[in-house]
Amino acid sequence: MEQIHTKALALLKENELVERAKKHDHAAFEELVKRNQAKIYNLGLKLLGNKEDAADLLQETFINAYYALPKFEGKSAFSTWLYRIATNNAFMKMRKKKIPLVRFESEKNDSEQPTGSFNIPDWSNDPRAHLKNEELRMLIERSIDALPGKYRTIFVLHDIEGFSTEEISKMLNLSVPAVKSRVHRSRVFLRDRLSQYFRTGFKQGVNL
Amino acid sequence: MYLDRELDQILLDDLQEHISLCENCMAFLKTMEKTIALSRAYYHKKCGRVPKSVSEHMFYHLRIIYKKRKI
Repeated sequence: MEQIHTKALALLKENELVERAKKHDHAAFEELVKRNQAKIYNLGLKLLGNKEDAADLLQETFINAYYALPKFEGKSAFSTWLYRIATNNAFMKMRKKKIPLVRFESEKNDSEQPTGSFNIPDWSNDPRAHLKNEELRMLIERSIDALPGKYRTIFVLHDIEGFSTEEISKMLNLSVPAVKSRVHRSRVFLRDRLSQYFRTGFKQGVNL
Repeated sequence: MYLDRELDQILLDDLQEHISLCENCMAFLKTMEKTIALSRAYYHKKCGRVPKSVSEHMFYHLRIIYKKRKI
């Protein structure tokens, strides 16, 4: 295969890079890595919660991708395929750390019905402003950590990364209704945890 | 499904009409939207660039693998 300059590789489309990488053009594979490493590292941070595990996930995902590249058929975007590898690796890490994957700590907050009326405080339009409140930031972190691994993954993929339920169903080998149900249950779980903040704000004290 | 606007238009219209009249559903919906917005903001703040040392370490390992495959 004709070797081309690294700068020229940066101009190639993703599918062109994949074809070159499949023919053992390492520079092309590395260009794919460069384009996607931030997405995978940040996915690791979101799913596993710390920099060390995110760094491990990043490395494992691209090593797995390198070996599995001949099997990549191009039916989805390369980045979507990488997400699939990364989420499988994340599940393995969660299992090793004994993080529950599908079972909620408590079912009492899982009602799918509205659980009463809330006096919603006067919220700023910018949610980032609220995160200056350290207690709220910690409450969100603990709430997300309390989500079972597979629910957290589906919530992140759908509501944070913006994948459709169809894309997630293919990525995780789940039915579309199962994905929708898990998105909903995750949202209700988090919302019920945060409802203490919605009701009272922190000035009145929140029992975590 | 309502939050994602994935409902059939007739059902969506019916629901919107109900929500505009039902205080509990309105509150539920608002808190769900805020939950998603706060989670997005939380993750936005948590994420960033890949540390240079992490990236270099990964490329180092990939290059070892390339060499092993050649042997």
